[in-house]
Amino acid sequence: MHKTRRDVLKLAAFGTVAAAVPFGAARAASVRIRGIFETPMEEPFVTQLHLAMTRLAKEADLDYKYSESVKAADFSRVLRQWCEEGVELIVGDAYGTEQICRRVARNYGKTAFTMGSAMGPTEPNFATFYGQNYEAAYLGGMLAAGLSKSGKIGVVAGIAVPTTYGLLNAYRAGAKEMKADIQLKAAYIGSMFDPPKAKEATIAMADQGVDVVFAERIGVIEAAAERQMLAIGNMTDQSAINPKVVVSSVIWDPYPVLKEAVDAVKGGKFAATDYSKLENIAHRVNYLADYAALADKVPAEVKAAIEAKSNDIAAGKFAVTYEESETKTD
Amino acid sequence: MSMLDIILDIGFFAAAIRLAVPLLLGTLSELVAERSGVLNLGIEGMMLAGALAGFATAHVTGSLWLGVLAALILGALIGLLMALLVVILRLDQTVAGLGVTMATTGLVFFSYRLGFGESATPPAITPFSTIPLPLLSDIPYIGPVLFNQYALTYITYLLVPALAFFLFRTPAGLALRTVGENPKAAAGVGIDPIKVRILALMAAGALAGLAGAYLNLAAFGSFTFGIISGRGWICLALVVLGRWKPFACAGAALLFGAVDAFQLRLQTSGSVDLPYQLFLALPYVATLIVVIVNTRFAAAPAALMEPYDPEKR
Repeated sequence: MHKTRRDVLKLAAFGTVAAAVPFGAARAASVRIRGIFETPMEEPFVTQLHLAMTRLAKEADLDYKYSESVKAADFSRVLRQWCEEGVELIVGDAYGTEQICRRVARNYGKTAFTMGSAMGPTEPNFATFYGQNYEAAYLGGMLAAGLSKSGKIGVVAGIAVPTTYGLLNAYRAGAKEMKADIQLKAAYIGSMFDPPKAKEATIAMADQGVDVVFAERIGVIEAAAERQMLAIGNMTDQSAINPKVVVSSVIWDPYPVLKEAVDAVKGGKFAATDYSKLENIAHRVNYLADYAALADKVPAEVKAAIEAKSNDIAAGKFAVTYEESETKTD
Repeated sequence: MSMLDIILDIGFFAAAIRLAVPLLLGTLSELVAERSGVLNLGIEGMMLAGALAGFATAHVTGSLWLGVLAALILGALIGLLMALLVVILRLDQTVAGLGVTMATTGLVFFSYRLGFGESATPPAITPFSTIPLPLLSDIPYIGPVLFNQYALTYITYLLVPALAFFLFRTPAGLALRTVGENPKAAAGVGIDPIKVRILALMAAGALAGLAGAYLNLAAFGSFTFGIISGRGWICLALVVLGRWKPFACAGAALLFGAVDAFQLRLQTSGSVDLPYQLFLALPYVATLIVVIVNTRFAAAPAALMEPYDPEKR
């Protein structure tokens, strides 16, 4: 094919642009942050991590990617691939893979880890958080008791692990503070994801006179709507699922934790920190979501009591007891 | 609330039926497959595929009945895939069935992510509401329990006698049972065992798809991970408990549903102080005990799990 001078010029222009692109990308290179989750994104704990990282990535211009539903057997492979690429920070849940994650972290000192874990941090590069929102659950319990007309409130939980008990016991304590004679009914469905069963458990509670229910798992709100109960969400703000039923949610928002971790990585002073010290009301990792559409249903004195308690907890004037013994029906 | 109060409550029986229906549909599905001589371990995947097909179709078209249709069709197609593996290629039924379940599980979640993306609030549909049947629902006590249910539940009520009639009173049913007992003898009288097994697996797939669709078109209004939660595997036990007979299978599913509804109420009643894991294990323990007592004289279809090769003597 005969080439005109114009073709040659075009080619040259294209070549220049192509050569310039990698340099441009290199200049804009930002901190790479990766999320690894054992469950699907729908798990509320993972949803919250993902939302926080998405927000952080937008604000601080981070390069954020994630991998969900990573089975324990694949954890090491996914982590190592990222570490080999030289990723700066890896965030995720290590509850089911505590040993695996620590083994990988030991081999890649240049990558910082900030993982949900029940075992605490490991030197030098493995920081942890606990995923706890029991302080907010205390307020949630106060709200439930304040809303209940029948004197019976409920909670439908998944698998009972110590953190779940810690959450539910704080919820119960909050409810008892509001109304000393309140009765708490607890049901476990034995699975993290079985919405039809969670729904049936909630209906069973409605049959027994419960009128406010804490939706520790997915599936409760749908039953609450069917049986004219009120619901309180867990971890994420669940009012969008049904604004006519969900009064508020016991929020766990890991944004402050992740922000601190990212800042530490950027400043070159990342350490194996126990970030659970931030997981409280004072640092806004825990809070009760806005009452939204059902604000009128909440009596003013209940609102005031919750607000006062929230301030007391934040100021350190009141400490919510954290207790990991089994929460049973009263 | 004492145990007696729980059992005498209308809400308990209604819950037992709601919990039993998806299991019953799955058990009937497994019954059809096993009566033709194929152990269908693809049932868990088929139920999941039916759940997604039903939900996605209802979400896009706004029609719940189109969702039911889509679940039936996709279920039947996966049944066809299962038939290709175990009837045509004569692969090991256990391995092929588990493979079908794993492959469909992966594909279903991948398609869900592609189609619906990720969001903090899962997309939802308005599920079927219960329809009280005129006159019948006015019968005291059993009316509100049996005849104030979802349309799919009424269909399931009819499916049990229909399947029993088909299996034991029609030539096609006889052909199906013969293929499950002795495919060579069936071939000897002019029945094509391969064709029968393919059709049986497609019917089983459609029924499993319907079972899955019930879970999110009637019982629950959105598609979430864990919507099936091993209910397919339970059906494998229930079909043994039901001794490969439709009415006994209905009884088995009802028993499981009733004990499950009972334990959920027992947990919240607070009248028995035991670790919650024991409550959750109750339906399984009850099933196991009844299987031991009840199935001593029951015989599985003789050719179950045996591939049929027309060229072999």
